Amino acid sequence: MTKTRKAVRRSMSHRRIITRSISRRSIRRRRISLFRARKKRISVVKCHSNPVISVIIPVMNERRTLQRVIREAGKVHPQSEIIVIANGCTDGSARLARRLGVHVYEYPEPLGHDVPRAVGARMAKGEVLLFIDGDMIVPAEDLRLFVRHILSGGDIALNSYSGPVHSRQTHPVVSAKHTLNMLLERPDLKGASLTAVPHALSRRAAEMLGADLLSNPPLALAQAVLKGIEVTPVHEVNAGRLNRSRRRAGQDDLLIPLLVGDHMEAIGLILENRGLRGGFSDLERIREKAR
Amino acid sequence: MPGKKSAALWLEKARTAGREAGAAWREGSGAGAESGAESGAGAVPGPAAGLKHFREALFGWFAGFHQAKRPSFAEALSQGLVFRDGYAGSSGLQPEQLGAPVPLAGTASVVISVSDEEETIGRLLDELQRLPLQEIIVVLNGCTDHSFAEVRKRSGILMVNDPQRLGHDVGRSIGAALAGGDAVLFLDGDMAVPAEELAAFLYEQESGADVVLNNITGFLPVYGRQDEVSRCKLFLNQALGRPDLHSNSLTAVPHVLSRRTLSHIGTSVLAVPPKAQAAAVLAGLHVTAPCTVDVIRRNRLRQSNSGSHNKVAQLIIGDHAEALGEAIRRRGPRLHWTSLPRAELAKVRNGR
Repeated sequence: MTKTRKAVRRSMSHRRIITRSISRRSIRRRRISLFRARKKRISVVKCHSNPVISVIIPVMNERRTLQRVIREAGKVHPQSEIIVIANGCTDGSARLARRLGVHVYEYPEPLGHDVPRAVGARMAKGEVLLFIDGDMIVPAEDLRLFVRHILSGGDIALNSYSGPVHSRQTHPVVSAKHTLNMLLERPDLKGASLTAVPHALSRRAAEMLGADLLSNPPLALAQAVLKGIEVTPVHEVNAGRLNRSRRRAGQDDLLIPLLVGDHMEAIGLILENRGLRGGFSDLERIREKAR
Repeated sequence: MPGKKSAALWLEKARTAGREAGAAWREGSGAGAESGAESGAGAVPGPAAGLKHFREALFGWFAGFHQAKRPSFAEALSQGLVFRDGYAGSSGLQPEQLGAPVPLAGTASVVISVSDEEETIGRLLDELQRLPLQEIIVVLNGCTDHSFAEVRKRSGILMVNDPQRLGHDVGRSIGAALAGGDAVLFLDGDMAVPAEELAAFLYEQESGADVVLNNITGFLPVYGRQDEVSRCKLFLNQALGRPDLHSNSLTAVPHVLSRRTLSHIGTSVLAVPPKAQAAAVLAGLHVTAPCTVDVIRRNRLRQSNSGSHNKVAQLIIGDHAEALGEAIRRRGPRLHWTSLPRAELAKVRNGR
């Protein structure tokens, strides 16, 4: 109990820090919106018993944004279910989700980076699996574009956000994504990746890949292309700007090796499937003559 | 970095040393002051002997003078120029006869791949005559023009001629296998580069580098507007843990490999340059890109980088796939890119 209270107090002080840095008018606006949010907390998002769409939301301490994320998810399609995979939550976000009426699967310990996606995929009943994050509020109208692509016969609808590419030497993860796509002979995907949400998969694609693979998104993308599953970047949602946790200082240091390593594994998979050169030509190189 | 004062002092010392060396040669050769006046008088050593003496004198003086710390190539070149002035003044030889005044050991080989480059190969070879080198190896392949004749016009060049086109970069490997120097400078016959610019690469090798790449970073646009090949090159370096190398690559010439590099990675791998680069970095060799030759301004116009550009781009992308595969074979599926276990990482990032 004291633990929760402490967490609340901490988040309150966090809020104070944020408000201090913005103008008076926006403080007033913010107070009003907070008030509205509190009132709306009662409104329950209904989950359909025979859903077409499954919205999968991994959550780990995302109380601050979760309600608005769920509200947008609920507006995507009339026949949908929302699956919250609450793992390692200590801030009451699981309780909040439950009160909102969505399916909540709670795990006391963190499942691991991107692992909740795989868990959620296994629970999903819909024909379309829409993946979003508990800390990134994406308007329903944007989310609908991903769903619509799958409903009209597509298999994987990617967020076409390519990451920051305005310097000569870009971030290693952005570079890894572009290179992976190039080696998959899909340069048209640029830096689009399954690591970024929102994205949507057809049930068929999820079954062909296997739910487990979704916890390593670059590997899953490589496998999808190698298996001939249709992949299309459908719409850009700036994940860099919206993703709160990315701004947390210092923690990129831990995420970079994970993601670059995942991409290396994905490149390894291409080479396993398509040979030493990933299927690229040697032109007229006469290797026997090399000394 | 030396101060302005000491730099000026060095230049003065270089001039004096050059003057002394030039005077010594004149005396030693028995040419005397009158040799200039009485041209063609008996057994006077020719300019070739003078050139050899000058190079040895410059290198000897430079090595003795900068025992503690080697200066940058730009400083070395300016000292060399002054040394040459002094030498020319007292020896009676013309500065142009003394070649590029670069303090090099003269133990390097040059390997030039040529296929149909009659327009440029002659000029390139003439530039190379101005450098102290152990040997020049020209690998002609699939030539249907007068490249062969252009090379034959000049003496002291080892030539390999294969009527068949060997394909990209195979010529480098053949040339490297023949080379006996302490270092090998790799060039293409389609680009004549001033000797001084090429000397910079050799100088860096003699200063301790194992692989000296051409630094093209300054010519590249931002990542969003780069071609696929530049992006592959960047990722290979990043993946190998050398983001500081940017998009600099063994795919591009000029570059220099030390003897140590060749004995570590072998010569056959040079037929796939990015693979050789991965091997060199993973072997812990000293790979660096301190010099720049502007290959873009020199506008290397050939089919491969204009019309059928796409084919060559695909080849180079394939080379990078191969290089990454090589790295995976040596270092495991994630190379050194390991983090906390996924659950631990989540705890650190999102726990409170």
